Amino acid sequence: MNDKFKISLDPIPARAGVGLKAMHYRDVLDGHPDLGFFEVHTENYMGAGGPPHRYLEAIRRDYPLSMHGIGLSLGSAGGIDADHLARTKAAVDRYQPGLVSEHLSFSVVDATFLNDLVPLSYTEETLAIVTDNISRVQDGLGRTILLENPSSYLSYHASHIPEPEFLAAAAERSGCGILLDVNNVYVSAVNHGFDAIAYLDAVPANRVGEIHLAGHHVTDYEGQTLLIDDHGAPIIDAVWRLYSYALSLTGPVPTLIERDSNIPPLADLMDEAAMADRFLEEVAHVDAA
Amino acid sequence: MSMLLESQRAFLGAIFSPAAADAAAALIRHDGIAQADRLQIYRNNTFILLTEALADTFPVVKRLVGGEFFDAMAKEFIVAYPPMSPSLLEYGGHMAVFMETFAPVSGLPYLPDVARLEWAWTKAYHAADAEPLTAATLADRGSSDLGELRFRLHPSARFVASDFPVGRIWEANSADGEPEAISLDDGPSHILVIRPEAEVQVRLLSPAAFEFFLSLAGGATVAEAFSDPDFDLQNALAVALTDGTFSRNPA
Repeated sequence: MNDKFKISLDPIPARAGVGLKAMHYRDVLDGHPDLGFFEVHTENYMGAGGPPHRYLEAIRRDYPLSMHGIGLSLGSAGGIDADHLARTKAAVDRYQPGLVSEHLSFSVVDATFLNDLVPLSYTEETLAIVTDNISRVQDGLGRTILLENPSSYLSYHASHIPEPEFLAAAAERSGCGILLDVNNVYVSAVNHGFDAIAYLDAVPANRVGEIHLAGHHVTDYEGQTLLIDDHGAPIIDAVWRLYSYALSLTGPVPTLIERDSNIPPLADLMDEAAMADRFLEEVAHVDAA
Repeated sequence: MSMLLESQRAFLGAIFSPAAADAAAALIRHDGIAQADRLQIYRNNTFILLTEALADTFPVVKRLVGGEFFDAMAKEFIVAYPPMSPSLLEYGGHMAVFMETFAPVSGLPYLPDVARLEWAWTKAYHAADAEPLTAATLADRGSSDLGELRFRLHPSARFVASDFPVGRIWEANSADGEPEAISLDDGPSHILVIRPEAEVQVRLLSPAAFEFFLSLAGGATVAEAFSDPDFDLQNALAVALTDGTFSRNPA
């Protein structure tokens, strides 16, 4: 191991962070923005070497880091891919992130990778599979992970457990924490016609270790609105309001500004991070009072 | 079979063969939007995101065939070779083989080799890092007989040989390339793709130098690799030690 590679071992603070994109590497290294942490997609750092690692190692020296996986496919009926778990472990061992997270969804079927986060049917059978898969990942990594609630554009006839209860049960049985994506709650609430506030009330607030915020895209199918979770736009006011409500339940937790398409200058994401920081300060004062 | 596995296989079938989407459609709710439309959102996500990943890996192929053609070809490629790993850094290695039997590009016989070169570039970009061997380090080791030495190539090194001038085609069509007229009769290419530091280099070699370094990469000693009497061995080694062709770790 490179002995120049020293990392910040501080845990991730209850502040706003930003998803790290390659186009912002230089801005971060040169400008050293005041942010609580950065989050990366674990899969982007699975090569043996090369420039992505050079940049992330340099940034990791100065910032707490969260690693967010998109390929472990915790909902796969076929179980966890041992090779991908090993690659994830190598990346986690290399960067020692403060948080590791994955999604309540599937993206692998019979080894074929769909490169998308597909929702699950919420049944007892699925719950047992998801719980086993999370346990396998946590045993393999030697640490707990956070499980993120999905956004979705379809639901199954077979589902009979409400999503927040399914999330809570999976977390309870596996011992994992929850990554509460407030934009996903909003998107799915609109798409499936449920009450976002009731959803947030049903999530066990004491298990929430991180919050995600993002923008989405609005489409229309013959008069029916469908929201697409493309992480391609600024966060809307309704999601900020839900965020504020979520914080009133969870207290201050690390909050990520996510942007994966139409990526703007880092300064724009910094503005959203500053907004999240203001909400976090407010709730911290309420907690202290 | 588990209900979940059955439904996930039905979903996979619906993504890759729209004609076989009925099994998946039967599992999901209508709720105001047709099941086929809901499945189409997921199909689009898979194909659009994978096409973007392929476009990132094969920018010169895309420039040569045009964006619209590339997207259509990528769709066929994704169906023929869907990703079998969630690590997309590994995705696209079959592109050259795919193109060899993909009739719409049969008129561009050099295209598979351009894809091989771009794949080598991506592999070099993500390859393990290693400190290059310098002339000073080699001298410090007090090496005796040059002919008996075995050099280890930098772990990023990849070799691409082609009957066509794909090195120049690649250069002229890469992001900062200058357009130039290239004849397919301009002869074969012998290319070493390597990333000693941060930047990937595409080096056009003479046939003799290509054979020499390829032999070294295969574990030959300098004497064993040296087969062409006209090859300027001293100069080639001096250049290689200057530009980071070898890894400092001994073979």
